[in-house]
Amino acid sequence: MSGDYPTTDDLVISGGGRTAIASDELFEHAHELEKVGIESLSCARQLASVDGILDGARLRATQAPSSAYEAEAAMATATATLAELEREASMVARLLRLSADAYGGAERFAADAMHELGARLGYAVGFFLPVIALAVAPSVAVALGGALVIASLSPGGVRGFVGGIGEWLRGNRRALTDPMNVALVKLGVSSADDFGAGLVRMPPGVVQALGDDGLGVLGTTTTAATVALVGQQFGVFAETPVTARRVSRETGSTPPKTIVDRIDRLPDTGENTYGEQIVIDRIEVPGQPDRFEVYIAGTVDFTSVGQSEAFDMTSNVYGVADLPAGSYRATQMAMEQAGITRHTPVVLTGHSQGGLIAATLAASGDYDVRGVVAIGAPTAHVDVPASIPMIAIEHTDDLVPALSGMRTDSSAILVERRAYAPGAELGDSPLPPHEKSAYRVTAGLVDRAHDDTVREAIRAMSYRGEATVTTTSYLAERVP
Amino acid sequence: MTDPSLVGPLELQRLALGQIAARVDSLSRRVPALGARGGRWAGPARDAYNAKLLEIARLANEAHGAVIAARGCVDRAIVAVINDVR
Repeated sequence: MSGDYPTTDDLVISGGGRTAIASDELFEHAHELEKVGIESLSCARQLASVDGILDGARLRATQAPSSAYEAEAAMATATATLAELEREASMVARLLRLSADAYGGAERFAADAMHELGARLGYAVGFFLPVIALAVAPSVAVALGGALVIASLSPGGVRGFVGGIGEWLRGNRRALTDPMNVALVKLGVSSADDFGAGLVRMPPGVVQALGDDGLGVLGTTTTAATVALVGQQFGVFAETPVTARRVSRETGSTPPKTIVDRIDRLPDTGENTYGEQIVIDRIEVPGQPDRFEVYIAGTVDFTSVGQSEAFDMTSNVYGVADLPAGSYRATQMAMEQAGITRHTPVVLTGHSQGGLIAATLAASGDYDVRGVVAIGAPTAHVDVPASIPMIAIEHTDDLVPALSGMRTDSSAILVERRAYAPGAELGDSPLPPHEKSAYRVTAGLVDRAHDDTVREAIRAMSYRGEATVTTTSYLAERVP
Repeated sequence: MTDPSLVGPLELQRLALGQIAARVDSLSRRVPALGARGGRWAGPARDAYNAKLLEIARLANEAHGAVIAARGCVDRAIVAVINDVR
């Protein structure tokens, strides 16, 4: 259904422990109509008490003029009309909320059906792969041979041909940012484990028992762990020890109150002095325990061979595999240096890989996490406890959140929006809908959302009083 | 002759009706504002919803009219009582 999303400022909100899925506009209308109903009832009650000041007996006893009787009749009419208004407004509000529930149910049914279909298809392809490979091998050999001949005849040779594919991808970012393709990637990632199970000829009953609907042994994490394991055999995705060191400290900012405030505090690794990826605010309030806000950047190095950068692809793969990624361990070190213990109230915000780290830290149970904001992050497979308010903001045309597959847990509040309209100018970035600047626009809409669940989550994770804020930046590095 | 003690309660009603009229007026303005915006819904569902909003707005206007009428009647009743006493 994501292909149907409008390209307006419309947010689609789901999760937060409820079954409804709806645009923020629908929740806003339901809320407004409920207020109209409550106000109508209040007016009707006040009118009834005003009407009671003078009853019929008193009017007759005092020989009241006819206009006083007419006033009584008009007040009775107004009271009845207000009561009808209350009934109508409340009924429409209830219907709006019911339609959100029904839409949520239909969306979930469709998602479950797609998940099931994808899993079965993945299993069947894996199971019959040897047969399929045998059948298509001659054709593939001919095709590959043809491609090599064409490549060698091309002006830049084979290397130029391969480079051309990269150029094609850069020139066809529309395909990578098409919401339908993003949804297919999500489905494909969720079905990858079923493909593997089919390939090793695991009985379907065992796959179901071990899968997402059973013990949860198989899933996106298993697939990522397999990628990490296989990658290590070829010298890529090798984890290393990491360090985290403080590079700057300043005092004087104010506590963040909104999602935009938090996005603005996310470290900009390309712009700041040392390339630091972690920023921690210590919020000191007299008479209260200190509270902290941790802001974690996204992937800095997109290569698969470990250099000094801790926020690299290796950390990405290990993070999705729910293994101790270098960036995760470095963030833990920075938090420890900042004085964050398991009893310190902390709110975690992260973009992309940083959002994955934030959600994983919250799910670990090792910290007193009071809120998580995951921006364009692959967190669908992370089970953050329902007691922790979590807002996951995802663009339906952003490929990165899709890399963790389909979301199975409904406790996180998921806010979705299509960042770019079809045909819109995409700019120079490889994945424009994944950019922090694109998410900042969506975050502004989230801050102004009328949905009660979103508002309550933002309120719960924000400190609104006077406080002293000390901001410290940390640089995470790999130790070869 | 009309009992002059009627003026006090009528004045009280007049004052309260003024407050209620303002509240109902505010209500009647809120509903059309909801229907004026577009969005995710389209086609028959949106049309049916807008028709329902119009119905709610009509009820709010009717209630406002009735409260204003009641206040007018109370005004006239006060004048009538005072004239009768004179």
